[in-house]
Amino acid sequence: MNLTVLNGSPRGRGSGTRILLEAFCRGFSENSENICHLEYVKECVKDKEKCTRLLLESEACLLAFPLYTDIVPGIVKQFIEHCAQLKGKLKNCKMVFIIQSGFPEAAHSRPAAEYMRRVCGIWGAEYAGAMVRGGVEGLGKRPIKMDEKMLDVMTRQGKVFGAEGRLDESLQDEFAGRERLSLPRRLLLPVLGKIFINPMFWDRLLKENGAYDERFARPLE
Amino acid sequence: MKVVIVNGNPDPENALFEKYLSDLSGEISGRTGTESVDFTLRDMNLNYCTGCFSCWVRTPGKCIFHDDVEPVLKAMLCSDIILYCSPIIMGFTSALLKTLCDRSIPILHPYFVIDRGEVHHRARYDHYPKIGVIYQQEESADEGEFIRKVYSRIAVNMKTECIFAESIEKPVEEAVNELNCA
Repeated sequence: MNLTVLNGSPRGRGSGTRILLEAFCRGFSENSENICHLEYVKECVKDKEKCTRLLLESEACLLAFPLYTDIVPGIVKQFIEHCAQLKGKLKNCKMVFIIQSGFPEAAHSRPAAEYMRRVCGIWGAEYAGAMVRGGVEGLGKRPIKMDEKMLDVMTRQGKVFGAEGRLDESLQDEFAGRERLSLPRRLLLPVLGKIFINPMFWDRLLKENGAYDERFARPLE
Repeated sequence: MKVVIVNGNPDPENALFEKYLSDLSGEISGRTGTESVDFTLRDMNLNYCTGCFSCWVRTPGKCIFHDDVEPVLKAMLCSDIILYCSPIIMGFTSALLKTLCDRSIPILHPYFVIDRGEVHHRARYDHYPKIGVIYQQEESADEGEFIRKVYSRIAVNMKTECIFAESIEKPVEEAVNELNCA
């Protein structure tokens, strides 16, 4: 199977999305007859014809992106609009998606998955499912050991897709992790946020950039 | 009542949509006690959000891009309602409008809080405008319910609520009446 892999992250090569895609493609390419062809949306969106050609020539396509304000990033929406002329023309294309976010719950990304199903319907493509995951922000910047299990699931999912042309539901669930936070976790988060999450992540970055004292600035007032 | 109208229509030839927004702006400005501030995104210099988080961890509250977005955010923060307006293209509002939404994260603070049962970001400002959506239906598809659902989620992220999601089939006067009641 020839798989067109579209990295829709505005961060491009420096993205956590890239690491997820590499894990998927590792599994997919275990079958030597399978080939991944990787493209970055932030680059190909500059060329409308290239966008349409990429999809028209694909028998299978994997589009991966981070959640930006509850749905696709603007640059991915632009890619989709570039391909508006393909309405009903992708009947021979099977599409799968990876949607990741920085929030810990997978639930944030479900409307984006629903949107991609709708887009597939407009194109006439087969929607073969989405792999949705929260808590991905920082992937690639933290010790990779912390994410080994998640990446292993992604590789196994790639292998299934490469062999059977479908996603495995139990791997989708395993990859998704927490759909929502339990009540005890929701109650604990304000405390954990104050003493652990915010200092370890946001405050550390603010201090590294000499911006900690300005963290509550309101420059647009 | 101050209303910010953001026109996310990429196609100036879409006369039906442009006329609706022009009438809407006129109707709002013509009423006592209401005013509108209008922005047309296709005529503005608007970069895609690159997810660099500079607005959170380098220059808190300010984007690294010095393009035309900041005046929109400033107007938004001192308004009562922001109206996101766009034709539906490929099942959702335009890439132009989505890009503006992405570029709105400087008005939030990065810290995590629980809001309406989910993890979201903390408010940076005391006041955020309510959100309304005006859309133009795409061919025969009815995306209204989906649009309302997504913008309701965007509203939670933006520390506010989505009070209005209507197609341009709704008469302008009725739409403005509805905004006034919000």
